[in-house]
Amino acid sequence: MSNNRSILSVLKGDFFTKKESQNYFPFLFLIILLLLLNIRISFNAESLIRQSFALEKEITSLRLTYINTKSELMKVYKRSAVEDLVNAQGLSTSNNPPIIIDYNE
Amino acid sequence: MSSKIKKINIRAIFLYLIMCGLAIIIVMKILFIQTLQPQISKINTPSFIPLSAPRGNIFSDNGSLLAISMPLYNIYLDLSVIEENIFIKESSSLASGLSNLFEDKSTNEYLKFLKSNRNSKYLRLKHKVTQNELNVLKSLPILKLGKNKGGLIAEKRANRENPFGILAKRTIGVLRNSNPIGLERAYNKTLSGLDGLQLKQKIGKNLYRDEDSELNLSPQAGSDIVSTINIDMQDMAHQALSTALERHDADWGTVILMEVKTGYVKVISNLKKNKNGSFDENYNHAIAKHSEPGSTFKLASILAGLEDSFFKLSDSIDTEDGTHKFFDKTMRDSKKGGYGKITLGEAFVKSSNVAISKVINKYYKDKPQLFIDRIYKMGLCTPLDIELPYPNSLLVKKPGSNEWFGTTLPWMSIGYSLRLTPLHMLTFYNAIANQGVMVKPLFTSSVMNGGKIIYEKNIEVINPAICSKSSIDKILPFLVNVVEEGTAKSIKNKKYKIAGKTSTTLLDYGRVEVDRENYQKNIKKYQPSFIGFFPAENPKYSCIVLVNNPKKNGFYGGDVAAPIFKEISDKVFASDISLHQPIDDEVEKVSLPFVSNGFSYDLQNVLEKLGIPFKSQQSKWSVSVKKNDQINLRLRNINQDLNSNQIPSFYGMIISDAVFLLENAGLQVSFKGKGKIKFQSLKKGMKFDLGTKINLIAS
Repeated sequence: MSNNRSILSVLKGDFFTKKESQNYFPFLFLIILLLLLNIRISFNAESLIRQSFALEKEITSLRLTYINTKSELMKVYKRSAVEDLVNAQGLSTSNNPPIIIDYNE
Repeated sequence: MSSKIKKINIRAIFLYLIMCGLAIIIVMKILFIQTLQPQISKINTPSFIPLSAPRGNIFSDNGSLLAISMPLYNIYLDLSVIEENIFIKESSSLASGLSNLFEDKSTNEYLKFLKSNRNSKYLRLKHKVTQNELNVLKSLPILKLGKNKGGLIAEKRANRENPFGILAKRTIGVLRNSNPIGLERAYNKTLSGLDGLQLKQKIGKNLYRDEDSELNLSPQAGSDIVSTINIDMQDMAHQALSTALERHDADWGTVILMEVKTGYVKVISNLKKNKNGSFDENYNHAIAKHSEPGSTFKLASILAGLEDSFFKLSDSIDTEDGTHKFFDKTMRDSKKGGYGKITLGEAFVKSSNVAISKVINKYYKDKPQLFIDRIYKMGLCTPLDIELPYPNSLLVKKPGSNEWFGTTLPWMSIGYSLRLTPLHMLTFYNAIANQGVMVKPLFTSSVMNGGKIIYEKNIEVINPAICSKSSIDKILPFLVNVVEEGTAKSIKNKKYKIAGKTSTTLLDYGRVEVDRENYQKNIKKYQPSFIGFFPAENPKYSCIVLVNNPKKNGFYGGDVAAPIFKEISDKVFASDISLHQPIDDEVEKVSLPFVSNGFSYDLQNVLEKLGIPFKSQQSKWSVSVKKNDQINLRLRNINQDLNSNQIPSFYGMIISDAVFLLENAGLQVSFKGKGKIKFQSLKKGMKFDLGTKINLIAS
């Protein structure tokens, strides 16, 4: 009978009205607050992970763009490629060795 | 009251039962998923995900990228997601953008392609698209709306990029499941690094959160390899070889350029003609093609005889009529009628087969093992132990074996009856250039990680003395003479001296001899080559050029291979600054310049600024005289003369200075010309008064 009553009191919410239960309210509020805080932090962490993921993706893309551009530069930097570019202007590689002037100030 | 309680009890029990029922259902469902549906239960369970380590790069000797990991993309379009009004409005701009980007179809063709596939969900647009091309694609109309609205699907694919294309392609290599090759294979472990593991919790689509675990393992990036290849020289050699192969309609050719002291392989170019007539690097002939070296081997034969003191280079040999019979086979010289009686040195310079084979056969036919031992000591009987893997089919016949005949020794002495790789022959010549020290050819110089050198390779000496220095000193002038007046005189030049030896190997020599008549009919195949080093006085580079089966414009080593060698050596000689000394100011002393007479302060100022040594006396005006490598500024008594109304000598003085002095002294000056005074109308020592006229003429 007493068990039935206690279940009923829980279902009816009578324990909230009891004076001794009210002493625990601040503690309950603290628990609820901590739970909410925890949820908020979790969401915040996930949002940071999303941001971090997006930034990592951007870094990867930029790094690949850098590698790709550097690779293209290497192709243009090739001696024969430069020669082809300047041939139209009548320039070609000299077979004469340089004359070195060693200038000591 | 009791009925009220009863009603409440029934409601409470009903609610309780519902709650219990729900709880049981949830627990059952959990158990069901956990036990029977692992694909669902484990979807959000943290799991270890492998993290692949980035592969290291391969650099040239000056830091140019030879191989780098650079993913490519396969591009597909989902045109069904594009809204109709956007498609109608912007499809032509998209087509134009695609046409400009890929340059493979016109705008109209692209527009037709897009329209005809309007409802396609997975339309192949282009494969192997680079990151830069993808960036442009993402900025094009429609596609810039993203995957969900623009329909752009980019699928990443792994790719190893060689920015310099086919330059040294076989040596840089490829890592693949079957038959990996080159440096990529040889240094795979170093380049690969170590893959890692990370415990991750899935929190969204393609989104994971790292979890702490003791088993987490960070990936270790692969190290970078610094090769010895110089990309500038490689490019020059590639161009020279490719042009020559076309000119001579040859099957393939190879060039190796090595640094004499270090054994660093600066150039390794292999070109083979494809069926369509173009040339490509698809076999590393330089390190793997074993063939008869021909006349370039004569150097080893001569050195063997010199080492055993069997002959001197001044010994006379009769080349008869240019033929000599060894048993049933006839040895022939390339010059019909032979060279008559010549010295052994001349025979080497002219590459006489008869002379060399006769002399080697004379001294070694009874003790051929002695000859083979000499060749062995020169490092030509053992395969080269190099970094790059290659199939070994080196052949040097052994005396006493079934394949050794009476004709083997004479033919071996001129480079037949044995098979060596071009790199092997070059290593031998390199040792001659290096005063007998045979160094191992190296393709890499160091290993780097994070931009820092973590391992540097040392020069590896195979044999500190393949023969005596005196033998090398004896043969060197003749190697130079091959170029100065011998078979390679076409490449003689005044700027620097080349030492080397030509070869014109007849391929399938045995078959040609057996069926000589038939082989006259244009089916003889030759393999001309030239091996040498430069500058001959103090060699820095050794180089081999070998061309297989030239069909046009000559077939001799001096006509085909040597000019390629020279084209490369000319450019290397001109571009390698370390081969040239600065103008020596002790030797090339600039003679003292002419210094005119004039105002002492100005003269001293100019001489000081130019760093010209001078000595001066205290005077306002000076006469300059060259003496003992310096300028002496001597006293000139112009002011004293003018003060005592005497005309001074103005010869050599700048006219403006003279006019200034004379007019200040009260004379009337008329003059002609500019520069130094070469005539004055009043002579030195004559008295003058105020207003006296004087004429000056300058040069």
